[in-house]
Amino acid sequence: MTMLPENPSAKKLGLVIDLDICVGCHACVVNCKEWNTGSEGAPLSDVNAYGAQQTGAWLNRIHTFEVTTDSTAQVVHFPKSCLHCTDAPCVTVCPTGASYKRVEDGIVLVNEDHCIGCGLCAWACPYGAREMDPVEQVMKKCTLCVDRIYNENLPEEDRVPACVRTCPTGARAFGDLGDPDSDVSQLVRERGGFDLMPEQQTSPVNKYLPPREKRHLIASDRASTEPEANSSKPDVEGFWGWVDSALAKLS
Amino acid sequence: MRPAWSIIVFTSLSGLGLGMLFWFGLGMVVIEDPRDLILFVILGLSAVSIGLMSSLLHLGHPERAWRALSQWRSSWLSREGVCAVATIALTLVYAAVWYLDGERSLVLGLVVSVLSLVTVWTTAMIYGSLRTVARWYHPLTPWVYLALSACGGLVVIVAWEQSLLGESGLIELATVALLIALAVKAIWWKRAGRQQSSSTPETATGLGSMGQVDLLMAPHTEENWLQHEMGFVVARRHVNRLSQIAFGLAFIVPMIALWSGIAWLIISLPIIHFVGILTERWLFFAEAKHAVTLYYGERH
Ligand code: SF4
Ligand code: SF4
Ligand code: SF4
Repeated sequence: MTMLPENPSAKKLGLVIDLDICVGCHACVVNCKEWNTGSEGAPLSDVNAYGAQQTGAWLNRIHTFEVTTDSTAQVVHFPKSCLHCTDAPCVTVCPTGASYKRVEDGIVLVNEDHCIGCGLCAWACPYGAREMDPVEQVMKKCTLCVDRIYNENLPEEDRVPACVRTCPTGARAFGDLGDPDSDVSQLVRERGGFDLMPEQQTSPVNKYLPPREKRHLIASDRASTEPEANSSKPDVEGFWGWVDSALAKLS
Repeated sequence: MRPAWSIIVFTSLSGLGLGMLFWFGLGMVVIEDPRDLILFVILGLSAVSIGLMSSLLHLGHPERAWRALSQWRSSWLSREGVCAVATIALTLVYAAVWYLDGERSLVLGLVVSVLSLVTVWTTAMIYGSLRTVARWYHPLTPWVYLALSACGGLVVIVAWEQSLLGESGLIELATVALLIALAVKAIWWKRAGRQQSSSTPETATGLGSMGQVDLLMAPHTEENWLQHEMGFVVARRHVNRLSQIAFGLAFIVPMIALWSGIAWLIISLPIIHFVGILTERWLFFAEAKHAVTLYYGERH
């Protein structure tokens, strides 16, 4: 049924992603693929995986952005997966009922046996969170590891999404964003967590935490170091001279 | 967006067929004997159903297409399916009653006309309801589809009457319909084309308060499905030339040729018009920019 739940429970499971911490290692992407290729639905396929022009379905992707002002530049790694939107447009456009939002916890899922592979849900999602499986021709998306988080066969500490479990830096938190007292909700409040593209009116459940201000990005600091870096000429010749100038360029 | 042929043929051909059925339902088509009736119904319904078949080609699992009739409460695509099936069924009933009674049923005809229009509307709203494509998300979008469908249907009917009777009484009406469609499409092109998406790489990442956001590294080295489907840019270079072709063939040439009195030209107008509509539809998709491309280095 692709109507959004009329009386959804207050529970809204989702992720909080800390852009200050993420180092763009893609570990969460790989573990996501690994877990979900072996889970209930069809495997997440790759086509021509070792050749040129490989393609494949992934549920989590890390983009890397550069954020610049007149005097500063900063690199931000940006993990992106389904945000399990409260007003999910991907669900309501689905003609078959394959896409649905769970009443009990708000997770957005696809029933692969009913999906006709029309792709319309991916057109409706502003975030690029849905990808067509190139072999099965059904729509794939993040399940919030619904087969882990309630799985009593797994040890307690493994009952979180695979990406959260694997992140080596702790940049990803999982919890109930519908409960204002949960750890994740408090984190969002403390750090000024935000929604992606609020103007698309999807009310995402997942939240992002902004990078903290970096000291070396403060313009006055930068201005005082810049001339030094530019004027640095190697006083040593040869290899060490090259190392010196290369390091000067890097810093 | 990638202009897939299956979708282009689906929207334009079924649009044309539904336009024919709209006027047919209103009793505007000269039908002299039962043979004409059967022939016209076959023509109209094949346009609609070949269009629908073509849309099935676009599916990953066409064998499950029947499921798409189930979610009409929320999904325009589902509504489109339901309305199209209903229109086809009612047209068959309307034609059968007409054939057996020898007389047209006004009520059934009206139902067919209304259903045809509603179906065209639902087709348009599949695209017009997507907030992710600012250009489509415009109140005029369904009106464009309606106007194009109605004038296309008339062009076919004029050609039909020309070939049956050697003349048509619908030339004035067809000219007016073409003129209206041209105007609606031109206004849409100006307005919707200028419709700026309020989404930017800054809102997409939420990092706007820190500065300007540009993609430094894509998540993967090769194109993925999203970019293949939604990151189509080739057409934009040729937009001017293609829109001239679309307007010329779909509206201008038919408007002039209708009055030429040259029989073979009038009879071939549906094809000329349709090539124009195909070009228009190709641009409709190719020019559309999807919000997701903001994550892949585009700025709309
Ligand atoms: S992120 Fe996209 S796929 Fe996920 S719920 Fe929101 S609109 Fe749907
Ligand atoms: S691709 Fe599948 S899940 Fe997506 S809208 Fe079509 S039928 Fe629904
Ligand atoms: S595993 Fe953690 S640090 Fe690595 S890319 Fe994913 S979120 Fe970022």
